Amino acid sequence: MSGTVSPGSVPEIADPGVDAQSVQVPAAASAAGFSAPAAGRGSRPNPVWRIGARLLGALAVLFAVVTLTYFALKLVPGDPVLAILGGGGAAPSDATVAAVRAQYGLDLPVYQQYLNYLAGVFRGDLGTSYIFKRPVLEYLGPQIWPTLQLTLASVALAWLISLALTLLTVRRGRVADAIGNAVEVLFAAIPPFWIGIILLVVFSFTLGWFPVAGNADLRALVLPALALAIPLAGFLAQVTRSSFAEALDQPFVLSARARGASTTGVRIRHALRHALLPGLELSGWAVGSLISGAVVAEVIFSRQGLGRALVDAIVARDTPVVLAVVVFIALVYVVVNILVELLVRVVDPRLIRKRAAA
Amino acid sequence: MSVLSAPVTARSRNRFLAELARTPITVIIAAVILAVILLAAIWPSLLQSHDPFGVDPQANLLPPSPQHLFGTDQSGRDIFSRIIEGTRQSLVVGVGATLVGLIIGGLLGITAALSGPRTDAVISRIIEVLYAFPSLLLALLFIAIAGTGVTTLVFAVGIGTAPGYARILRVQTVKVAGSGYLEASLALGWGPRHRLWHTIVPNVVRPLLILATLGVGQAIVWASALSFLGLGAAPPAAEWGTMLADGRNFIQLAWWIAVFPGLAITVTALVTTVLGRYIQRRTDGVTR
Repeated sequence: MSGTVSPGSVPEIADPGVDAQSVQVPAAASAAGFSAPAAGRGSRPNPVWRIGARLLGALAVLFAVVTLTYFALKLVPGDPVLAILGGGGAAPSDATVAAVRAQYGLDLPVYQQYLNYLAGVFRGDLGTSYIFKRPVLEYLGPQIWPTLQLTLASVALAWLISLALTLLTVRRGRVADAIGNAVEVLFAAIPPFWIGIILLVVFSFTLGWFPVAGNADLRALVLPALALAIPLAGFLAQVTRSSFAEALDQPFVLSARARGASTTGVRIRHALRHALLPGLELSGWAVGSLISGAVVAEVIFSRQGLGRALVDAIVARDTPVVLAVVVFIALVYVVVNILVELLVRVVDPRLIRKRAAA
Repeated sequence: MSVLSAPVTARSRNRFLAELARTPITVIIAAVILAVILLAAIWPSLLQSHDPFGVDPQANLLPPSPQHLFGTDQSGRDIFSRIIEGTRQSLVVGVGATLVGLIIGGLLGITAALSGPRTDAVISRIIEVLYAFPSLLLALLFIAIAGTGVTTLVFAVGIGTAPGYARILRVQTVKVAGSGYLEASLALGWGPRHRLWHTIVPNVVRPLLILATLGVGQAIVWASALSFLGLGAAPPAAEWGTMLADGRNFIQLAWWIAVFPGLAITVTALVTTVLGRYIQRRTDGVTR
């Protein structure tokens, strides 16, 4: 459902570091003269019908994610009631255990608990945290925005870096090309937690330009966002640079030049559009993986956020919180992928026309 | 890797040298670094200057110097020797996780590709649902269920990467099974064994080799991220991610404790990426 590869197309072997995301260049597929109708999207030209089907599919994936995660977390060893009452050392009386079990609905059969949970989700009730004894939503609510902010800032920065790398190094001579290659491979290999620490040492401790920790203001956002953006920029640049180079070889570049367009004009107005597409498709994956990858930046820079809440909940065996974060991340992932799919159509109008002609 | 395994006969030596001359310098450097990393994993004491667990309170938090190449940590342990000590574990975790990912992903993807359309649809949906979990999230979820520890770490990272492998391997299998050369070899009347070894295996193994090479580096990064979060190897171990997390508490006093283990992770990931991409380019030339 991530919408990056239609089942009828054959993606290339991609870097598993980018989650084995197969990046399909629509231009290449259409060059073959046909596009296989993508199963699940339907081949009917009506866009409303198609979007509806797409949304239904997304809902189905989300439902599957909730169900899978719910039952997977039932496999967590140990009695949840003991976690609620403060671990094995608390030695609660049998009466207390029974009371708490009933209070959290843990005395019901598992399928009943699951149905109750689902019903709760529709009411906006994600259960009660075992550790904080508060509604999960109330606990996680304030954590959502800092993480989204960090994620969006990282994606934006990563795009800036990779576009700069693309425009400045592709077909600008051998040296520039080699530098571009080296930077993209280096960036992609750098773990975010390491670059985060280096940024902290250099820009916070040594130069004092940015605050060391917290999420007070926008200045505090710069370093954590950069730590996440640099590795992502490496992956993005790999894709945008190679498709940009491919686009520059296309006949339309020559014809645009013949019509009198400047080199820069052709690069920005014509070739860049082609370079954006695979990068955009990668962005859907990137947001999903950033939002969980944010945990690393949140720990290094002592930021509030979903990622840290997730790791804390895993360590404390706070199952309802783990479940809620997982489902939320999957939700963002699915939504972003739908948005990306729409955005790809804006950047590549050929896709719309082709669909209409089919 | 043909560079390392070329047999030494007079004729093949010439070919080997010619090959070497054509190999980009970055690839040669990467291969040499990988050899050193492997040496450190197999025979750590050969490279270590100090006892990696030897505590020396007199020598704590020393900056990098000729005596202590990468400095010492808060307990006076030599960081260079500890990084060498941690190489084996990091590699074992990385390779193990990649294998787990490839096996699970392969089972799902190849089964889907080779079975009928209905089974294919079902497995493909399963892969899609799993793919809606980002790798790190899937790994974290597994750790939430199975607890922490090195074995769990291997499986967590492996499971995290499996859906991606499943997608690629499914497509690759469909591609090979429906390929013109397979049809051609059938038409030529080649036996099933010849077909297996001369058409299917080369076209499946090469992409697998590329995936695995690129994957090991990334798996090491994922695994050290989890260790960094305190969900992997436990603190006394000289695991790179654990050392980095340890050093985080002292970065204001002694940046080297956290920076050098991170450098080891980055270099390892970089080397596997460079080699993986080189193999990818080489095989691209062969298969297209």
